[in-house]
Amino acid sequence: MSQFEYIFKYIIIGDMGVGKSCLLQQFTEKRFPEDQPHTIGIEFGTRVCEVNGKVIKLQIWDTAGQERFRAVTRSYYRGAAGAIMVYDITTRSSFNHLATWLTDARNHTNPSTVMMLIGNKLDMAKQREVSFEEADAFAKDNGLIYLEASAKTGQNVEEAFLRTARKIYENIQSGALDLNAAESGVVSNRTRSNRIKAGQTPTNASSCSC
Amino acid sequence: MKTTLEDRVHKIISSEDSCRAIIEVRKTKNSHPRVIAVICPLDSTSHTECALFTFKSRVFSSKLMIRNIVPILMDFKAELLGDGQFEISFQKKNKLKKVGYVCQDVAFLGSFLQTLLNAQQIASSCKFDTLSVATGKSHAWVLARYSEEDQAIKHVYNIIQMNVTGKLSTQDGFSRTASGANAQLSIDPIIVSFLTGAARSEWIHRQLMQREDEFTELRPVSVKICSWNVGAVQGPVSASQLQQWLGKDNDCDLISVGLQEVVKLNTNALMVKESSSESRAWLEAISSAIGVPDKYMVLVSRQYVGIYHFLAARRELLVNGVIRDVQCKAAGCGILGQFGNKGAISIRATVYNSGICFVCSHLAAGKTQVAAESGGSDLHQLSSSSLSSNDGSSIGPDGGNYSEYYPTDVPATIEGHDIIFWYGDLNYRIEAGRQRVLELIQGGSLEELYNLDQLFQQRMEGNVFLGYKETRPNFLPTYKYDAGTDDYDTSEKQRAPAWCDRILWNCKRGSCKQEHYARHELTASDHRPVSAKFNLEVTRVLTDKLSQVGEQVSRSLDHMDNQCTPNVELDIKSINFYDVHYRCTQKQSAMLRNTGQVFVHYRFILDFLKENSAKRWLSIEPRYGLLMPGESRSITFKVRVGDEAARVLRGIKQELQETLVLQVEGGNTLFVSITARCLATAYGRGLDELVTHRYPIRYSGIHVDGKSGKVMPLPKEVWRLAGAIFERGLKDDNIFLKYGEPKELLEIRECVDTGAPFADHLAPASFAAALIQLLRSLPNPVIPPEVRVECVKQHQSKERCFRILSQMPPINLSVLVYLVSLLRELLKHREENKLSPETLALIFSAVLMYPETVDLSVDDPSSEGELMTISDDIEPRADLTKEQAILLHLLRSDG
Repeated sequence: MSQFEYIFKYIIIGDMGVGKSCLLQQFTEKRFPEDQPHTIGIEFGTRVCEVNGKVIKLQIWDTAGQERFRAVTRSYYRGAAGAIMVYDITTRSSFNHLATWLTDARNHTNPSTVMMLIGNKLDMAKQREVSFEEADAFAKDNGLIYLEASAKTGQNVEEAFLRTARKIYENIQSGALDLNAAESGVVSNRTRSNRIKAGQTPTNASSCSC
Repeated sequence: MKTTLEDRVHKIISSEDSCRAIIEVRKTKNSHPRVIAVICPLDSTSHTECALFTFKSRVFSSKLMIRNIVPILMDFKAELLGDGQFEISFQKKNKLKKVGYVCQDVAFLGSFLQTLLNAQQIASSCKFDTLSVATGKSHAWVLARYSEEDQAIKHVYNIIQMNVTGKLSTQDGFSRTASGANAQLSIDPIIVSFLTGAARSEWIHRQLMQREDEFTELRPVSVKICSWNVGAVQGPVSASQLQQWLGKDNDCDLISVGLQEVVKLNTNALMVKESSSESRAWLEAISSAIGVPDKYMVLVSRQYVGIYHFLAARRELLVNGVIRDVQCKAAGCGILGQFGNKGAISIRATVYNSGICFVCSHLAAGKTQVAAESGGSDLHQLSSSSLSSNDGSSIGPDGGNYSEYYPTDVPATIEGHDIIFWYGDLNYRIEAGRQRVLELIQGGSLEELYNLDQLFQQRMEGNVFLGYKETRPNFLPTYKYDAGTDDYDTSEKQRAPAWCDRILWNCKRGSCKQEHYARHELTASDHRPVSAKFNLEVTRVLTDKLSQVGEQVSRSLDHMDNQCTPNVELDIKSINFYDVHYRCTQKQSAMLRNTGQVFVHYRFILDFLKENSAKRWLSIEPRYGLLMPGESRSITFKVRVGDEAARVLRGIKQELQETLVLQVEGGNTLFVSITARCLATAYGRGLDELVTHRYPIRYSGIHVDGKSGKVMPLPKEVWRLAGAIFERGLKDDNIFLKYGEPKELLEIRECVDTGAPFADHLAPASFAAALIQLLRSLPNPVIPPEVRVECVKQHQSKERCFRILSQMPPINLSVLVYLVSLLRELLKHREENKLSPETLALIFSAVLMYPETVDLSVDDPSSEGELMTISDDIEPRADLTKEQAILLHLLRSDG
């Protein structure tokens, strides 16, 4: 009963420098790295938490934001149960690019993937370039859960990750998410055999032979 | 056979270990034999830690090889299936793994399995499990001594991977930094990443137990225990009398009353097990005496033949949910172990978060019970008897996410409780005659009397009631009186007085202090009742604090989990090769470092993106491998554009951009950007394409003349190279025989591709080599395969060959004619250049036709140098090949 019953795979996506890695660190380690280097690749973080009375392990894949890696990064989207899209409320362009990120995510995840939008850097609200209302409207139009958060202060970070987890769990309960589907992004303790492995070779990278 | 096997095993294993049993087996009847052995260390501290080794026999040597090591743990099983077949099973990565074997030496099998079984029993009694292995508490020797065994370590790793990583990293001199959060944790952070499932919750549980003080407080609870062998008095005594015994204005939280002989123990009564009119009467009497229901509430009222057990608690405690999980169970240990003339009724309850058990028993009388067989075993039987009379489900405390990690389950046995009270007519006597006992009583020497008490003696000898306490009764023996009087037994039997009625306790957690221990002067029975009052301190879990601590423990586990994720760093993020020339190798290197705390297996993935795959021109050495924590490795990135790559890359723009994916098993992924400018070359392209370029290839992107439709009669590259040979090399005695200079070849290719004039210093042989290289780089030979096949069929007839060749595509034909005329020109100077038609035929048959005998389809593996060119991979043969014959026709003919 105290073992985790599910593992959810999350991806964090969004422009370079919006604070994806910092959000991950804040959620998993409760700390804010002041000089977080750019992620060039994929980093992992895990945290076991309780959602609706169930012990769930969140396995979070933090991706590189640079445009040039987009093609490679996409192949890591598959099999995500939750996609966390991040923009920086103080950088207009990061919000403007959301449509592209969203299309990308929709194309490379499955229909039941829960999408969450985070407007990061709430601690710097004075320099805000994107209003809450505007982003909220965008989220509503696209059926995203939306929150503004601060990786620095930790405000809403926990809430954002857990809200996504609750939604995924509800989808499991309601049957909207089929656990037996190949890329549900959820591993149940009962179906351990096809568990997600961190660092698993991306699905479209067949065995390398060079 | 057995001795030799043993010798062979001892050659392999460490001299500090010994082989307990050994056998040769096969997986199936026809598979290769294996040797399996039970190995344990010789030293006395760890010799109980056995492991099952599997050895593979080497094909050409008697030397064995360790293939697999399985520590023998509690869950290890070995089962004989008959017919020489047996199966072992053990936990591997949280799964039960079963391996079946066949053994032909059935004679040895029995003793082997017996040894295995013994080893397993030892493991059970020592509680060896995966956690003990993981934490190095057992089987550390396996790793210490056999981690070098490459094969074996992989398998050991599967089973005890946690420990392996821990050890290896220590050996590596890699120091871990424990941050504040995990400094308090008692187990190695290294192993935590592997803690999943049951191990994880077990670990959290242990951590919580260590920090119990932080989320529990002690609560005072007072308990009154009352016991009386009522000797089947007819009807209960009066309420006022009872109050004299049970207390008038009780303020105890719990009152337990145990009666013995509530019914006459005749044969009829023995079979009556449940309630009777007597027990109902007692319930009523006791209830009214202590103030039920205003002050107290009855939790249990239970009769089991002669025994009656009653438990009540103060109302507030029940209302507030302090007392939970009340269960009751009776056990008989009378005649045949079935009848209830003797036995016990136990009641258990959870008070706050402590388990308290009340056992009211009536043990066998007489001296016999002193003997271990009787009283001792009765006790043993009772105390170990299961308590789970109910369905076993229990209601846990409300709230608190981590409460499940706290042991709130009802213990399965009496002895599993935190505090136990054991009382009743225990029937122990005083080791002295009636007269002596009476003398001591009269003399007031209760201490001396107590020293003669059988229960006291037995307890001191450690035979019964281990761990239990009793204060010395400072009251007279409670047995045996003439009922209704204050006189000790005056009947014929003249029994010696004894302390039959006793109250003992055993406090394992919390605290328990006895306030008083007394007898009461109720004369209705031949026993006097006794009572005792205790002040306990029991554990109460503060659910809020438990959640906090639980959260901290869980977070620290997550923290370590994340710390233990395999992680590597590469000291560069991108590599630029700038200009890459055809067939020129360029190298760059980078340092890959394992920055994590566990060993990593990395792998570079090249064909990540299918189109424009970098794998044709980029190689990485070593492309995959294992790195210990802190270990670094230099990775070499090598770029080389060969024929195939040149062909593939000719269509795309010169700037190559690739993202190399560096994958770490179970860990992070790094992207490495690779940039290179691939310089366009004529090499690798087909004749059809070459003739469309009027301008040098390098600039063909600028002059898009390929589309003009104008086609040159001959590739200008062939024309230029042949021309240079014609001008400079007709009399050169190295031409077509010596290798070209790599530097010169590069220079010549550059001139060909850029249209620059050839410098004077270039040797004729280099031009010849460049020409051969160009012809070889063609995707299709000058003489296409179908033409070659036809010619080969007709190789004896010069005319027919010519006819076939003349039907080739015009470009191929013109190249062939042009080359043949060059060769003929060379042969005119054979005195100087030492060439013979046969030699040229040999070289050019290969170059122009790619005959099957010579495989030119792949890039030469010795890419380092450019020395290869002409006849290095063509073996001169005494007899002419058919292709050679065709070439000779061409060279000797005038047409």
